[in-house]
Amino acid sequence: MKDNYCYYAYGLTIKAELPLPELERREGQEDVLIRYGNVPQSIEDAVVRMVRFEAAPDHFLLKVDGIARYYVREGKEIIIEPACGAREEDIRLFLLGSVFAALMHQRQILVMHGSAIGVNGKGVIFTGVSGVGKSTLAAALFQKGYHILTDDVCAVKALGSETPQIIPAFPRLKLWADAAEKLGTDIGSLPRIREKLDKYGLKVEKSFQQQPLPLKSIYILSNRDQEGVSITPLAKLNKLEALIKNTYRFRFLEGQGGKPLHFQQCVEVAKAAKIYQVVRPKGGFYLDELVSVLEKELREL
Amino acid sequence: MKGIVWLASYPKSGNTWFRTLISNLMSKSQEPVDINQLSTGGIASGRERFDELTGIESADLTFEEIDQLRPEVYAYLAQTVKEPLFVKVHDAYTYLPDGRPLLPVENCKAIYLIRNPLDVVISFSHHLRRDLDTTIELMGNSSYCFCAKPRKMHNQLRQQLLSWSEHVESWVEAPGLDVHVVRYEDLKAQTFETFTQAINFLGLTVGEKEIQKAVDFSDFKVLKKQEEEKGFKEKPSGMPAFFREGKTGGWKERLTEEQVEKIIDQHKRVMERFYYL
Repeated sequence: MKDNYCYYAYGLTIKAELPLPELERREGQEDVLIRYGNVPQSIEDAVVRMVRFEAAPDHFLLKVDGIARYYVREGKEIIIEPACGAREEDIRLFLLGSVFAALMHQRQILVMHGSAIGVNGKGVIFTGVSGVGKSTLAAALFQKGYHILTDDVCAVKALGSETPQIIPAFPRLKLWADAAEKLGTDIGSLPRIREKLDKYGLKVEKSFQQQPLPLKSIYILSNRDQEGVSITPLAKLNKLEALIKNTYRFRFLEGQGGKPLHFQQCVEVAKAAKIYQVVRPKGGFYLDELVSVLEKELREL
Repeated sequence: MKGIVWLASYPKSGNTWFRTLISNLMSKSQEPVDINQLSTGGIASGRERFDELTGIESADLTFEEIDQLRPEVYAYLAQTVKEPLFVKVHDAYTYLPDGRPLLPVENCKAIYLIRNPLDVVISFSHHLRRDLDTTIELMGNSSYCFCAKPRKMHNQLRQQLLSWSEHVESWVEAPGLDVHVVRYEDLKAQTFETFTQAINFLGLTVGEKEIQKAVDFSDFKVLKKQEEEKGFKEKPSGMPAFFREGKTGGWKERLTEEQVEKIIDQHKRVMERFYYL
């Protein structure tokens, strides 16, 4: 194997054959190896075969046309076969998203779809459907001085410790041009996450939360045609459903036999964390209003 | 039948109304279904389903890359659903550069809802919060799309609508696709009969009683009242109400002669074909 790069993310020491500048460098005994190699077109005894991914217990395959095929094995190894002419930043983008999520699933870590911040030693997750503004909100709170744990793929160690812990991912946020503008961030100085997308990577190294934090609350973001921002605690009965719904790539679990364990993890999180529905008006960021309402909540954590 | 039933229409042509009819038809309840919990199978351009079935975040793909995968997402759905899945769609029936249709035909049928463009203009201008002349321009624009700004993240995938006429023709002439056209005006004037024809086209076995119940529970007044009481989550912001008037022929009072002429000029052939002229 060629020279290795060594990184630390999601609580794991990762040796990689390719540079991953989004991650923090740290030497150590490897937990996960990322290498180039041949990746099959299909998993022979796959339990699920969806449009671009397949899974069997301890095996996972993702195919991103024109970029790469990724194979994740036993929570320990990721093999990448790049497509002809694929750009490294594109290969990394899907590696750090769906592929890392599959790795976490294999390592029996609960993966929520959301950004997370630290407040006075406590962890808070912002979840909700794609496009609801999780990253933009995290970026706004980052500007206010809060610590960032993750942008989009949020790992939670739900079992085996006294209380569920959010595991820090890596110090980068992804922002669309209009969101960056709204935040007053000059996109001229930021790298695009892909050449063809008007979406940028924002490094948050100094505000990155290095250590896991106990998960205290989860805010589910949504919007609706209403005046002002509202926050409503979720009734106990609805918490589990909300956690399952906002699990990142829930379908990845189907093929890997992780559903009963996942359910148990959600039960633990539902016990330990408060969950709120946050609704803001449709048709705009309403970022200042959202931040000011949330900050009141965060102060009381 | 199994598979996908595309509930296809240009915007503001009765799609939501038709979905409430279907939802009420499928519902066992003796109360009208909640307009905020319509049980139909979402919208074709929804991000969630795309991300879930591909395993890839659509937010990290270009419009073209997304379109390349969309046919496979729907083909997967059409093959795997055990009951007919009614999927709303505003995309025109278009083709990828390699010739594949964006929306597959296998295991799929389509109900195409069409409404007099003279009335669509008025409703659409409220929806978009644009003036009538701009809306008329957009309805005549062959490259008109929803959710296509490259600088931001839209809550739905990009949808190519084409012009109003092109939208209609793209669907009713889609090769190999079994399409049943429902005129909004017929649905309004003879709801029971028109809805029954659609049900028969789909080959659903339901009794007259159930159809009548669905018709009664989907009456415009019922929908409007629900919206007044509880709001409607699908209503765009800034619009006073989604269920506004729901009437036909409103254009006679609202459009100027020039506006009427312009619309007819743009869409004459298709309007004639569907008895609007």
